[in-house]
Amino acid sequence: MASSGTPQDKNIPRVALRRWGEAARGNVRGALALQVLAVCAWVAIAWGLGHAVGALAEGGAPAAWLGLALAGAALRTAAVWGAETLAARAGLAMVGAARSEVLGAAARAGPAMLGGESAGARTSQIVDRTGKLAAYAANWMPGRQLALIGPLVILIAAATQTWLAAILLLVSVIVLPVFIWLTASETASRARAQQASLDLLSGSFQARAAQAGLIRAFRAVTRETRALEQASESLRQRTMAILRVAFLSTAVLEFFASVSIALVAVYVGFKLLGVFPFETGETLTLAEGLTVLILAPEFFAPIRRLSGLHHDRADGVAAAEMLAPWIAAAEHTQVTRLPRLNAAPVIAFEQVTLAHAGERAAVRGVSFTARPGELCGLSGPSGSGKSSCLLALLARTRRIEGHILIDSRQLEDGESLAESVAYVGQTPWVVEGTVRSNLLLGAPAASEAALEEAARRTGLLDLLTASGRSLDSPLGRFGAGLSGGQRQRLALARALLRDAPVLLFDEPTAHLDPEAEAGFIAVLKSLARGRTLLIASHSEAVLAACDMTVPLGNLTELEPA
Amino acid sequence: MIRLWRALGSPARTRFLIALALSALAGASGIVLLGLSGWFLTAAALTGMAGAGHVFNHLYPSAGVRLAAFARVIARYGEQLVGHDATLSLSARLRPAIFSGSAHARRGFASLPASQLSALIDDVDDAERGFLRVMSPAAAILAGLLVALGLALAADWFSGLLALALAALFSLALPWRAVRRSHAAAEDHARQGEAVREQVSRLVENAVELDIAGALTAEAERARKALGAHLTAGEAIQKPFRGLGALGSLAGLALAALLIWRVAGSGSDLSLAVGAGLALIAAFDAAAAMIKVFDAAPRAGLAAGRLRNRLLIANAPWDAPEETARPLDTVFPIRADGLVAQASGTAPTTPPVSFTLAPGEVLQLIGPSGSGKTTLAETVMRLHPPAGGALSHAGIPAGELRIAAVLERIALSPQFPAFLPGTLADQLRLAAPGASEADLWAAVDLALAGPVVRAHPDGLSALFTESEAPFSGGELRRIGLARALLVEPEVLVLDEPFAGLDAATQRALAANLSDWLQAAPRALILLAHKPVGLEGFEASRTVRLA
Repeated sequence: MASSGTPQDKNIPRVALRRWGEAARGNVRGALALQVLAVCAWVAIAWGLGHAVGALAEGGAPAAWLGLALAGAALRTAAVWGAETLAARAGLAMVGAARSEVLGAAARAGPAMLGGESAGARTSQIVDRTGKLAAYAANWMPGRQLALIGPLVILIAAATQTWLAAILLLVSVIVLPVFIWLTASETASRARAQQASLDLLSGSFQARAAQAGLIRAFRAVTRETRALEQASESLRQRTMAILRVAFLSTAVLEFFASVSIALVAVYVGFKLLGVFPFETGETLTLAEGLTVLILAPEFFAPIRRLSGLHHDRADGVAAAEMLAPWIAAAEHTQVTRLPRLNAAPVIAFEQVTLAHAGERAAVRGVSFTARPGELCGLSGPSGSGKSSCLLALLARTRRIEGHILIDSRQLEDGESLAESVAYVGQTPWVVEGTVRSNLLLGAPAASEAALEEAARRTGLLDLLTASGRSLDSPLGRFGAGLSGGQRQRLALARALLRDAPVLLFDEPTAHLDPEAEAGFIAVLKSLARGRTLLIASHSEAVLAACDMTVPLGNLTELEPA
Repeated sequence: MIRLWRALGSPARTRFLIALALSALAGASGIVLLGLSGWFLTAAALTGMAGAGHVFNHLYPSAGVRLAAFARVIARYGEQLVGHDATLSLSARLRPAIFSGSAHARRGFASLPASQLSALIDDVDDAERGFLRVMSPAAAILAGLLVALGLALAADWFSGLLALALAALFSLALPWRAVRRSHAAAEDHARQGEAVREQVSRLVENAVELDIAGALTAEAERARKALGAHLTAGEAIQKPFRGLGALGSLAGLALAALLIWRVAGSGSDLSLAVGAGLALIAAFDAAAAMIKVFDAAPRAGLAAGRLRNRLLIANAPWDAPEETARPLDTVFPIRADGLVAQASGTAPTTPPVSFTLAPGEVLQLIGPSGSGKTTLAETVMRLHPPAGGALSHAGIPAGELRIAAVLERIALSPQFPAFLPGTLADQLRLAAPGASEADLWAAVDLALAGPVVRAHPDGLSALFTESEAPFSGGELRRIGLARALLVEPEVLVLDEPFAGLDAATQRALAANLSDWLQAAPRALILLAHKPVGLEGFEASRTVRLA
């Protein structure tokens, strides 16, 4: 795997952004064309109004010119409406394309889709981050091109009226980027430097608000309020230092937009009065002068709008940077499901080091041997790699060092024991249907007798009967209506029904109260005969019930010098 | 919004007013710039044609044009700076006040549920940005419209009145209606969104199970379809706004054309008509931003209203007034007589219990989870008002004591303790800000957390972040116990202290607690799902909750 920082890696987000944008291309082009049409319509408006007044000043009839202006205005309204519609469609197309890829990658990567992140963070990336791409396609993609084409159209139109005014506009727009770049780059570097402390601060309000009960119970409300006051005040001072510079770039843009209008007006006015002190080689009429004056604000409008679209661009790029490497990594996943083992295996880890799809290490130098008939517990704080060890058996984490042996046969990279495994996590998968249909999810061909036996041995049947239900009771979406204990028993029964020689458990009692946990553990112990059980858990009760426990330490301690 | 601001003591009043004035000035000068330019050009041309170019006083108008240009730039920059500064001042006043207000009235010990917390954070954000999103842009737009309408009325009363009507339509009525439709659509959409998000989140959480069962691809495809349908349905939120801005611009242009047309017919001042016409075009163009104002206004208003209600609570309603509260030297004896506890006004109540607790005693509250043990203990700590029966500390009825006075003497070690971001020492000093390092170690050792803390590379400086704690569940419970011990309470409430411990550790902890109990006039309240039977640690009293 290429290490991060190679040019190829840096390109991955850019390429992804272009790929997703491809889906929106047609609509973006259409929106842009309509926006250019709207600019052209503005030229007609300026022309019509300018010449109408010019005609009036010379005692002529303005009707035809006013008609041209109104026709231009109507055309412009229609074009803008159409452009907005197409831009919105472009946004939908791009989000749809990105989500298809992301969910496709998720399906390929399987359990490795977490890649060391929490489930909540991944969900929010799949839903929210991709959502931000809508504004990227709808606003930024056409907007950045319009910022070039729009002013060009206006400039040409202005040059046909008075070349000197056109040059005034041109000069102001040429020096503009230099100023904006100067102020913006200064701001960006300072903003980055202070972003971390800002996050910490807004987090500190959040954390205190969340734990108000705790703080109050220790009579620390006044102390913590004062700490919050000081933090907010220093936030204000630091933020203002950034903003003073940040707003300069807006001010520069405003300055050129305003001043060039003023310059055009003064030049044309003096020229019309005949008091302009220099020979410019052109004679101006009122019609020409007014046309240019009306054109001038529209010259800057797309540029000003663009400066507001940088947020949309940044959001899109951030989404791509977050998602693209993940998608790229999932492309390379090749998993071979090994045939089902006939008997419970001995599973041995020898100095195994694992890593997530990225570069983050998950566990280092872990060794243990899990034997049939025993409960093997993996303990350690969250993030110490308990789950990664389980996923290694499914070829869902990257092995960097060491060996994993299944009955002394080495488990090669990409080989998965999935066919021989049943799994119980924190909150099992429950679909709409009956208890029975949920039990059959892992073993569709199971017999009625086997099903009842599994439900009975895990105590599920007793729990159901006690709450006045049966195997045919309906279950709502995501298992609504079951208690935590019942849900875990259902998962256990399903695992049993799958009749797999290896059972993997990941924090199976995390959501259970002590009593339900004790019941679960009792059933767990009864299942060990003829099976190999690996249990990743925080719970001291679960670990106490294990025949052996493997402590997975804090990674920082194991970091090589 | 303004009432919330007043309730906070009107922070940064001058700066807010200056920002508002600057915003209006910026909006007006932009319109003046175009109007004056149009007037100047036409007047200049008319004079030039009459051959009187050198007599025309061009100095004032041209200076006015430049002045308007500079005024717009400077006012806009000033408005942004002053407005943000004032907003940050408001935030520096609002956040601590909200925290303090809600902390005092908070019932119980548990942390705020995530959904309520994110709603609160959103409210604070929306209310704080109300000025920048609503008042400031509205001032600029309205000031610009006012200038343009003034010019239009001066040029031609009929066009002026028509412009007034259209301005009201396009800057007020239509945006208001569009926003109302959009918000209704957005509410529906958000409701559907929760279900779809749940679907994706379950897919991610259950990836291992689905992968093993070979069902992952099909489930991912279902999630994709649900997300797609939800995305398309979101169109309804944007639709009411579409083309509205362009329609407003069209109205401005039509008014300008009408103005010029009528002037042509009547032969009145052409320069003024052109100036007014250009001003109308610019002002109606700018009025498109009223959509955003109307979009933000109801949200900011509702958020501010909710926050104001939180501010009004300075004390818990069940606390004794400071002036009439009785002093407390010791909590003993604590007497409950038919005491009924309730976690909130709508929660189920516990059965009535009666007990007396004297120094040296151990009270066990026994019951399955959900039976209200914790709520009952919190009620004894005065973190809830009693829902029935009588409670007294040292013979003083609960309602006559300050909550703080009771909390000084009763501390709780929860089953799942919560922590703030910060170091381990910070966590412990929450209970005792003046504690020395030796005090901290003594408490940590007493709670049997010493070995794990010493084993951690950072020791007392081990860092808790918002999402991760440097210790595991059982270790955290003992750190929570150390924190409660640092209060040096007379009564210690322990929630499932022995759950999940091996027999040797249970005995060691029981021995430590029994030493602690005898070192001073102290008592223990144990909460457990079944009676704790440890040698040398017998309960003096047991209360069962069915």
